Amino acid sequence: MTKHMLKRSMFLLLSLLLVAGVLAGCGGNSEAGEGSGGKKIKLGVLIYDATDSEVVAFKNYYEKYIAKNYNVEFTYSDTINTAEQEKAAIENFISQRIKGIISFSNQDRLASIAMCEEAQVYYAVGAGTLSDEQYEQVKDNKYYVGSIGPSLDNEEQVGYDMAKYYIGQGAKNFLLYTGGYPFVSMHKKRTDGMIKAFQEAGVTYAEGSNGNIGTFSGGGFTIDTMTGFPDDSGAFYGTAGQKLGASNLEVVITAALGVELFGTSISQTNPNLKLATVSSFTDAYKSAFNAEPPQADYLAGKFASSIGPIFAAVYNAVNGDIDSVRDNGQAFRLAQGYWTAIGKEQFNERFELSNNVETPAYSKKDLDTVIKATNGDTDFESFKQFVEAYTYEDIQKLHQ
Amino acid sequence: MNLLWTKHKSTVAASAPVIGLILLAVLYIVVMQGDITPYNLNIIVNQLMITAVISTGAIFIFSIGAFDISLGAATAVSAMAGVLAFNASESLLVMFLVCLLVGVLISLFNSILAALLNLPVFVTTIAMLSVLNSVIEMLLGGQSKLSISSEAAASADTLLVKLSILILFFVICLFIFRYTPIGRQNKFLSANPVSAKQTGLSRSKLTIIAFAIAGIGIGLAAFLTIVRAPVLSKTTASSVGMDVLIALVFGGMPLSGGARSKISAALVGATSVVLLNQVLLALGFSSGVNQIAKGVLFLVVVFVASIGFRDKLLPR
Repeated sequence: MTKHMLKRSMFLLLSLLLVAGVLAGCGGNSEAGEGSGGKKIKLGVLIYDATDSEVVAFKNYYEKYIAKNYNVEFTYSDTINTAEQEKAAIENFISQRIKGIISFSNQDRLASIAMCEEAQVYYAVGAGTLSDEQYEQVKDNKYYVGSIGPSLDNEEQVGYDMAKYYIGQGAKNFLLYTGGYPFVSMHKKRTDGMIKAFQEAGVTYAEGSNGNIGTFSGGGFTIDTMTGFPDDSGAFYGTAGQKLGASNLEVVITAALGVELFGTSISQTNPNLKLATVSSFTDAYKSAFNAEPPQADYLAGKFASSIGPIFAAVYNAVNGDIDSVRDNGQAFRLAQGYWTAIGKEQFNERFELSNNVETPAYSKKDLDTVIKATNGDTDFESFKQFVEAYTYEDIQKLHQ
Repeated sequence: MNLLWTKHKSTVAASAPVIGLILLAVLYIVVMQGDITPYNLNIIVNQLMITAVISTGAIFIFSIGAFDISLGAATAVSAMAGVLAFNASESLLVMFLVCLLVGVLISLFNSILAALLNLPVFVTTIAMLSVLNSVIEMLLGGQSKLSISSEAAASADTLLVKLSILILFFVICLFIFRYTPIGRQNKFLSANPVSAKQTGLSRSKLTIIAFAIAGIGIGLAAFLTIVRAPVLSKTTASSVGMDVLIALVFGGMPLSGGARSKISAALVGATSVVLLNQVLLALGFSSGVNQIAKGVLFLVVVFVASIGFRDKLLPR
């Protein structure tokens, strides 16, 4: 054997060893299927961004709490940005013999549900809702379990409450960030809520052309708007910096991302601005609320274990007890709104309960009350009551 | 031993992609414990289809030693044009033709621009990537998604339609690449550009032909993209460029093109990548580990594939 050949063989051998090492050491869990309670039930979770702090918090709850307390094993998709990726992720789940899918992805839900029906896999929307039109099409599908998440009414109320709060505080100079208005329905609804609050305060709103955001005048208020998302050009942040630097600006209310898009700009241009937004009780917001001066002042946010009830529903379905979560024989569509935190103190209290994986907001004891296998008396009504009692105060009562 | 190795190493290197594919297929059967349903096979076919079609056309580009970084964006633009055409006409045929036309036009524009400016094609495709991404934004018109109804797409979303497109396109490309002067000239052009020029071969002409064929692949893939998932967004097909590159390397295509270019690399590579993915998933590996394993295997494949020609005078 020549020296060259020896070197190549060594390289090949080392490469193969590296692959073997990677495969052996970094996450192979084919043996994890056998748990103390028999073979574990495999559930797939479709995620929109593997690095998003909300998704990370959700995963922590499922991995560090649910998987330890129930006979289940979770598998996650890659980040899903397109309908094609969503379809491929579901195909891969089906190929892996997954029994149920909890989706946090919203590329093409009807197609996803149709695929799941064909493969006889249960599908549920983890945090969100279907439009009336979509719901009508799938409500009788026996593999579509249902959805839990903020309804469009919830979204409008959130926007209304944010604007109303600062109007009540005497603020007069606002910047409204409307995200994907009018194309993204939840952004539109939140913005509609804000508009409603300002109109009640005496502001005149003139609608924009082609459904775009319009202009505000009167009532002693100065209200500027900003729409769209960052792109490669960097124009978004340029505009944001310019608008945030406007003299006398007091409050920024966002219908889409808040600290993620405006946190740095606020720190750099106008640190005393108050930012109100809709997001989640995540580490990013903890830093923002606890910064000096704070980068965020008001949050309507999802809490990590808010996805506990949808797990319970899917768990019932895969255990053959889907009837216990069927709304008159149809898939459920339940509203679960946000927790609201104003100021650092409230935020920190809620953050603690939201992210505690030892004693989460929805513990096993709570979830067992709506799981048929552990509570034979549970039915859809009790499940509905359980889901709809979602406020911070409601959850605290559960723990008393 | 040394003599035997020297004699057969080219054969081993040339056969490595096919051997790898067979091994992956066996491994897949083993890890699935034989429990492979028609649905599983359908998944494999669905997942390899788009990459295989684009790769088949792209072989002509790679074989002349060129490289197109805008394949994904071109596919997305073609698909969006197809969706707009369908929404205006409600005809799948019109959608198909528009996808094809836009795919070919974009590809031709790339190559003609390179010929006119006398620039490497790679450079113009970089510029086109940026332009096409802007076109995508324009076509979206401020919306986050463009779509046709699932029902409309469903009529073409059958294995028969999809396989027919792939097989027909592959057979035509195979014929052109192996049995017409275009294929031979492509390989010659990259293998020895100076000799090729001296024998009267026109680089510009061959480049334009190569990109036109690749454009057909892009158009077909755009149609298949809509049929598979009829909701398009800004990031539609964004991973296609990398998928094609990986598939071609796994299929044994030398990235420098030349005499060792082979049309089968597209199918072998695309199938290998999908099978590898399915094997890793069936073994229960997380997506992160999956990516690392693919990266390492990618290096191994390139290494093995290069064994046969590393010591030769001309590094192609």
